[in-house]
Amino acid sequence: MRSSTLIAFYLWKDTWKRWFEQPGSVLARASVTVLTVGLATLLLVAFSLLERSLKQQLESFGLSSVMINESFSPGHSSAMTRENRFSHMQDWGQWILLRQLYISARLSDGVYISIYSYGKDALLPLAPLLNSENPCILVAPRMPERLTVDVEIEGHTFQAVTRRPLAFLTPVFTNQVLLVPENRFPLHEAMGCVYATLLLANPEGPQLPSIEDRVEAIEEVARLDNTQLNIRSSLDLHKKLKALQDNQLRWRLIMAAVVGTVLSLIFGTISLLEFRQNLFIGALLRSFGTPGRTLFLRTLLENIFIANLFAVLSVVLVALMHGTLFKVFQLPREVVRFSLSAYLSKEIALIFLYVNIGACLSTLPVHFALKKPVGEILS
Amino acid sequence: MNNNTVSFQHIGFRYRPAYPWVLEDFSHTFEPGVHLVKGFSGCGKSTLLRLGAGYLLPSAGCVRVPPFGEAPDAAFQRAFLGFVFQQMNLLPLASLERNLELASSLAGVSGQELALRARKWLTLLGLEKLSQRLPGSLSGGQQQRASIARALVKEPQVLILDEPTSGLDDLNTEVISKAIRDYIGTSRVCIISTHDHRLEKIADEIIDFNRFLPMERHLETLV
Repeated sequence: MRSSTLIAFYLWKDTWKRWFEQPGSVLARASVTVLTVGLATLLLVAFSLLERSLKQQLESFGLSSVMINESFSPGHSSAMTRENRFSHMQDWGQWILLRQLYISARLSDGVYISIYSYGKDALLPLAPLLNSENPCILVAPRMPERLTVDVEIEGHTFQAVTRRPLAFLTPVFTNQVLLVPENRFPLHEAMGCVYATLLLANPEGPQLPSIEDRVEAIEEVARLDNTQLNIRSSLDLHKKLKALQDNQLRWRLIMAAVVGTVLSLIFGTISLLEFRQNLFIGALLRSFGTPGRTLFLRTLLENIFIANLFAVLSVVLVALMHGTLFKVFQLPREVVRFSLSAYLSKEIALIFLYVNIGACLSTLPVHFALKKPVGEILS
Repeated sequence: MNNNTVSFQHIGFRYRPAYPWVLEDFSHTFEPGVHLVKGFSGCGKSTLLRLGAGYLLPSAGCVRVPPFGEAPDAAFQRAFLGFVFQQMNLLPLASLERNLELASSLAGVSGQELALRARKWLTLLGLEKLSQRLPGSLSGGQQQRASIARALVKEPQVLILDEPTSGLDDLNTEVISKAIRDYIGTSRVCIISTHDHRLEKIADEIIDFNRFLPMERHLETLV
């Protein structure tokens, strides 16, 4: 124990002396670490934030919702009736049908908004929004709840009650809309409308196909029916997310190779040069009976210490300059906004894994150099 | 076999397979006592010493050392061997006392005994006032005495010295000779490689190494 302490103390002193005598070797290792880790942090954090932003979009749209818009005009002919068109898909979840009329309503502040009418079938899912006193609902995400406001339609003023949109309606109502009961404006309904059908899929349903299959099945129905459907679903977002995750994986591998290889080469070369400079001291210690693994451990700990210290510094620097750096690359707003959790994510843990693998690999040349017999060195 | 001897049995050695042999079929047993190995530069004296210490591995044959008559290994180097190189014997960043403590603690000496032994050998070799100095601040003679103190502090069974008095004045040589002779007595083995005639008076055996491998015989012709 005593000898280990003495050797450790001596090696510690020797290391400090070397660092002060040759600060260039520490600085070279530091700058390589800061540059490679900084680059890796920048890339992987950007991917992580982009991924998070896409996932948020997916969640807000509804992971398995499908929105179908279809224009309808009085002269329009189709092979199937609207009722039986999606009948074989009823088990997939809840189907909500709304009609967007070809007229708009004007709010007191002069803003024009769309009008949707709802039928009996939609009463149940819309129940939380409706009230018995006034069936006209102004769905407004930013207005106070249950406020009675005036709306003007075709020169007539009506009263509507403000409500916030239900979560599942977010894909349908991106802005303020007026919900009115069916046949409130029969003349305008007869002029045509856009059918907005929302499928709220039940992910726990026994026969729910994948989102790709669902969209494909609806498209197939539209083809058979010779109808032009505008389908919106999370499929595009899923595809974007998949592409991003593929890119993320590719860059992770590239960064692993870059960080690991560069660090192991630079650290390895410097370690070997320093080891050779101190070859006689090492050999002398070994001649007393100091195990070679102690000297190897010193190099390993030194490299791990320097690599981790400057890797932490690099990550902190990138975090501090987050906004500035990401703005330079003209990345989306969600990415430019600083998020501490992105810097405490598994991406950063991965970078540290690469750094430590690089630091360990860099010690290998010293391991082989230690195999040279003491007698050949001290001659 | 006497476990107090250092025995070389049919030793052959060369630094690389393509290089010439430095030692070839060399056999000799070093009994307890002081042995001087003399010979021309390059005849293989230092190589022999390093083989005896286990710092080089023989290409052929084997070396047997105390206490169990086995090949020299790290345990032997730690506890039973004191070795003085021609130069670079002391750790430059440790004081003389620390140098001695480090060597003896690796040999398994601990506690108060460690400090007592360090003081004893520093005193015997006239270095007690320099115990806190770093090796770089000492003269050549002082450094060489400190190296011998470092080798002796663990009180090894085998003491091997490579040119311990080269370049030293008579006084320093006398101090070193006396310390070695007193320590070795009749139960320990000491092998010294030297050209120094002043050490012959403490020797129990003098080996002319040239007869084994007269590598540089051409020098004789030149003289």
